[in-house]
Amino acid sequence: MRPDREDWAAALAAADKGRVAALADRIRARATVEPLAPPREGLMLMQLRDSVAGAAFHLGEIPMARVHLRLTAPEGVAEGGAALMSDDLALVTRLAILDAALVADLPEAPEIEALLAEGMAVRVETRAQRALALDRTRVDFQLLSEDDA
Amino acid sequence: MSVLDLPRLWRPATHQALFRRILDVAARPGRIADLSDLLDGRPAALAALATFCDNTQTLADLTGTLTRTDLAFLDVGRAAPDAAGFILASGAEPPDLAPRLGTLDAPEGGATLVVLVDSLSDGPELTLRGPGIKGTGTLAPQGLAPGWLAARARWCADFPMGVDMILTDATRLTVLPRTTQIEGA
Repeated sequence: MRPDREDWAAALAAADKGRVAALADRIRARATVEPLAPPREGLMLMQLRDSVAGAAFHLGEIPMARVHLRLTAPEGVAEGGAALMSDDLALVTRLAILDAALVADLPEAPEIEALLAEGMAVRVETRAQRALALDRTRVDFQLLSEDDA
Repeated sequence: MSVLDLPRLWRPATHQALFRRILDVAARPGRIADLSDLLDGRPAALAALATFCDNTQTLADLTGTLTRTDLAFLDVGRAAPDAAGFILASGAEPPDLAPRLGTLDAPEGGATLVVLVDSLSDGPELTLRGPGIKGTGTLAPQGLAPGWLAARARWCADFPMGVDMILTDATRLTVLPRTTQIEGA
């Protein structure tokens, strides 16, 4: 089963980069790719809200790349896009090509879905490792006060 | 081959060449710049807007000819004609708009009108005078409704306030700054 489309770019970015690039380039070679907006890469301010007062604040600058394109292949036409916290515009362009290819259900769709599954598994693993690392930093204030007493 | 090739009109080298040619004719009102080798079939008016506009500018497209992709690449804000810094209009009909004229303190706030005509030659001859023109110059646009010149004269009556005009046909353009006096037609 395909994950939600909004997760495709992040999942594909977590999959094997060489296979992602090879597949996107193979599709690119037999299709026409037309940008629908200027490809952008640069720094943007990441805005978050603090968890106590809910006030917005800027965490800092993050690298960001964004691509929006139209893919025209003999089997179909689709718009694709990708926006990723990355300064690798070539990678994000390839993710946008795979996004469009999957929307258009090109013959390469099963290969893209396999990469998506691989990337989703990597993301789950990464999330579990981060949760474990975060858990080690948990402090029980109740116990601290008892120790002090 | 790069992963994503930009259309020629949106490549930096094209913008630099366009800017050079438009700057040259802007300094010599009435002189015509042929942009056909840079356009790849796109209209000269779009090339002019691509040269001047960015995300700090505003545009009113009264022709409805700009596509969603054109607007995305122009990366320009949209505004009503009376508030826009740039206005794209057809010369076939007399203007029914009140463009920004700037103020005495900030005359650069006057709008730039990009006006589409059938041809920049073979029309009724106009005589041009003013800075950048040695003696007099001529221009013969075809498909420019007479109301445009009367309206321009009205808008530019209180120099330094006024509007600057760029007349374009399919592949060429000429610039008529607010300092140019136009007689004829």
